Amino acid sequence: MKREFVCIECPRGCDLTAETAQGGVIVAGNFCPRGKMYAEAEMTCPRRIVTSTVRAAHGMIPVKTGGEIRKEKIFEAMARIRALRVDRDVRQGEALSADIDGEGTPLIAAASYRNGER
Amino acid sequence: MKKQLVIIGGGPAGLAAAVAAYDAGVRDIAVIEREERAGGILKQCIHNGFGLTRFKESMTGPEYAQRFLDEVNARGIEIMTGTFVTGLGADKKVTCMNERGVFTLEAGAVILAMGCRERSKGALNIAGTRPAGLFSAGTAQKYVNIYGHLPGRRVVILGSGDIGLIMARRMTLEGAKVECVCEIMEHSGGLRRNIAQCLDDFGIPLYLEHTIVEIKGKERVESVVIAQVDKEKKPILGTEREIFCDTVLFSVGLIPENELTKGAGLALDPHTKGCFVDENRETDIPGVFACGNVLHVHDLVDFVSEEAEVAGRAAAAYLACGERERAYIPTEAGENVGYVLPQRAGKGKDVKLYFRVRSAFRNAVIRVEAGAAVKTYRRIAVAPGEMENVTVKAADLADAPSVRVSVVREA
Amino acid sequence: MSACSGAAAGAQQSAAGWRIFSADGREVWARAVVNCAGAGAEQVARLFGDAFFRIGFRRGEYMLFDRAAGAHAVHTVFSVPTKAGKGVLVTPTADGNLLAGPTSVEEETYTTAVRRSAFAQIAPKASAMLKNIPFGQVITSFAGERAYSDRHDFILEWGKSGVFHAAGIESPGLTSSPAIAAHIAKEVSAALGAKKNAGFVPVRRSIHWFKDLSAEEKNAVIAQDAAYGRIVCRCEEVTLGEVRDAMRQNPPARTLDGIKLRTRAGMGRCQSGFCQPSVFNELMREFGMAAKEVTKFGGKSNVIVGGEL
Repeated sequence: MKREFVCIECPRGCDLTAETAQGGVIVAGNFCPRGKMYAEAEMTCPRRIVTSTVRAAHGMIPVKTGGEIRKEKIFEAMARIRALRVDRDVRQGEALSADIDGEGTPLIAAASYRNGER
Repeated sequence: MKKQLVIIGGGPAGLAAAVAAYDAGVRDIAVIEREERAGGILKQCIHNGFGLTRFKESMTGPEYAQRFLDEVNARGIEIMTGTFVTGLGADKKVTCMNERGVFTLEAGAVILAMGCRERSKGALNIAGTRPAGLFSAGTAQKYVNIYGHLPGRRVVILGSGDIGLIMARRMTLEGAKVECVCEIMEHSGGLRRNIAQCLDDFGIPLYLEHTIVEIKGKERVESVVIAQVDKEKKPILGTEREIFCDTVLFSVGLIPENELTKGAGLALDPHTKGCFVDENRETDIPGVFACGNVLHVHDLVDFVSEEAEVAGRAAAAYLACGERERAYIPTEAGENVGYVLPQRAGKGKDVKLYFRVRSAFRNAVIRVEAGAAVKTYRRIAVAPGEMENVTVKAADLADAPSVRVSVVREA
Repeated sequence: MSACSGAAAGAQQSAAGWRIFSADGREVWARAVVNCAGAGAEQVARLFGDAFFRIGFRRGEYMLFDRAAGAHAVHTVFSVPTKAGKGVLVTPTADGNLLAGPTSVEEETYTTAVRRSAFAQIAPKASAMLKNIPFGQVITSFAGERAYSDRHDFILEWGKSGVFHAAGIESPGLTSSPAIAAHIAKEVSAALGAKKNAGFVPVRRSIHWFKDLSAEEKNAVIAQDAAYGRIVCRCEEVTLGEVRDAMRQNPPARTLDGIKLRTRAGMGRCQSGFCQPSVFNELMREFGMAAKEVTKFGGKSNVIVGGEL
């Protein structure tokens, strides 16, 4: 499979072409090794940090995945995030879920929340 | 009531300015914030990507804001939330209002940090009806991220700046279908990273050189008519296409919020839509400083914080030493440059000039002419959507009548 | 006095008076009826069995400018009127905006959409009268329909049905409206045998009055009700107290536009970008509405249709 995309590692924005071949990835167009790594990851197992919000009793708490999750798992994680409900105090950095993508990635609160306040 | 330093706005600019002023010796500070909580627009920017330059981390907006809130709180700096500034005088009298009433603060120095507002759809002269379902992207972002309401399920976005791109992803993640993003220019205004992660990741088409020419729908929007535009940005007859949707987001520009600034008698630079400042971010009124988006719209909050610290330190120096006579040289925007800030620079020290280019291209050469001295700097790529900066040495400024910044393609 | 909103679908006369009902079954009883339905006056007349005039309408489109541009024209400027009317004018408004328009387009169906050609029709005509009009400061555009009758004069008379018709009020209709109102009141009260109400208060206070008070006056108001100390619409300086007044008036404002039309919240340069979520929340709180029930102007103009997260 061959793909073309723009590298996002730095402002140079090299136009990359990547092709999967014999268990590896052949990358062309990259100016530096970071571009090669980015392309390899994009072709074999693209991952993303997902940010969203969780509904609390009084408002929404911004949240983020504890690390990059597999791109195919994004919408599944989003469904789990939407199903969460919080009705207690939360500290920024706390995990609201130990596993939000079915592969052990926690969901982290990006802000503190006080349940008493409206 | 007298106050040494009044900072108007408790967003990233106001908070950083407060910390810097405090650390430079000012103790009697009030940050005036109209919302119930400080943090400004960052409260609703729940996506990450903030702080890469300053903290070497990719933080979410709320996390970035909290860093500064923690610093403000650790120093015991007062933030008056739920308080609106209704007037600013050239005499540095700040009229405020909140639930306790109307009051005036007589400030020794003022820092303007009011941020910006979004250009509305009404300013674009789009034909059609005025149904429900039309939102500026930031307002939609507030509904989604602060209140948890999804405006609609079938979305068209006008404007490919970062706010439009971020909302394309946000709406998609929450289950809406973003039919397309239209952009009137030949290139997107947003970061490449965002095109990739907000549009390409979800297969959302980006139609460059397109705009919305008509809105349809009696009570709720039902469709928009988009058309290609020519070089003068006028719709090309015959290229119209109807796209069915129930929601339209407009991400069509940010305007510095300078009503108070104008009320104080300060003139605005038509290129930045903010006031004229020197390298200390001091305005034409001695003791009044400006920083952040109210001065010129930034792309990276990291530079907002840096600029606010300049203003905070300068306000502290002003309070300690009073106004000093200074010799300035004007800065100028040359070829391919839209504006240069500060608009005037004092001699005797290095000055960091911020500027934006008029068009995007690769292999750029930045040319800085200070009198006879000409220095050039290379950039891999430049774009209007990415604010640039270059430092001019004090020695080069010494005899120059002005400093001119141009950007050309490498020969 | 009470008010209900809905379109009249039919009317039935009985000894008790008129029963006017809407398509969804709501009804109102009245001993006297005044038809001042503008572009819909002919249709409404027919509901009561009167058909002695025809109504046509002409769409008029306007461009509204930021209040910062309000001083560009000191007078209402327009070209010498023709049969078609006064044409495009450029004028400061009572609220300090600048206004340019209207166009005049004969219509068969009622529409308040702005045509694509409207801007190219208004701008040159306006510019022919005033130099340097700051078109970069337009904040919105809109359209309305002006009704006219086949009589080409005011229709102010009783129909055979016993309904009083005030229809086809063309230019100078706005200027004439206070006198027309006094005339209708005289006619209808005579028909009802109504006695003058000694306690009638003829002055109706503006809902948007706080920003022009002195600081002392504001503090006195805020001391009574802290809601007046909170600004909701920063462009037009509308307080939370005034937004609540609009929702508690008779008839109450129950929509975003209802609050906008009375308080000006949302009419400013940011066109509700800043205040809309706050006004939205106030409507939810005041009327116990769920988010999906809040509308822009009633009917199916719901603001949030994607659900709750």
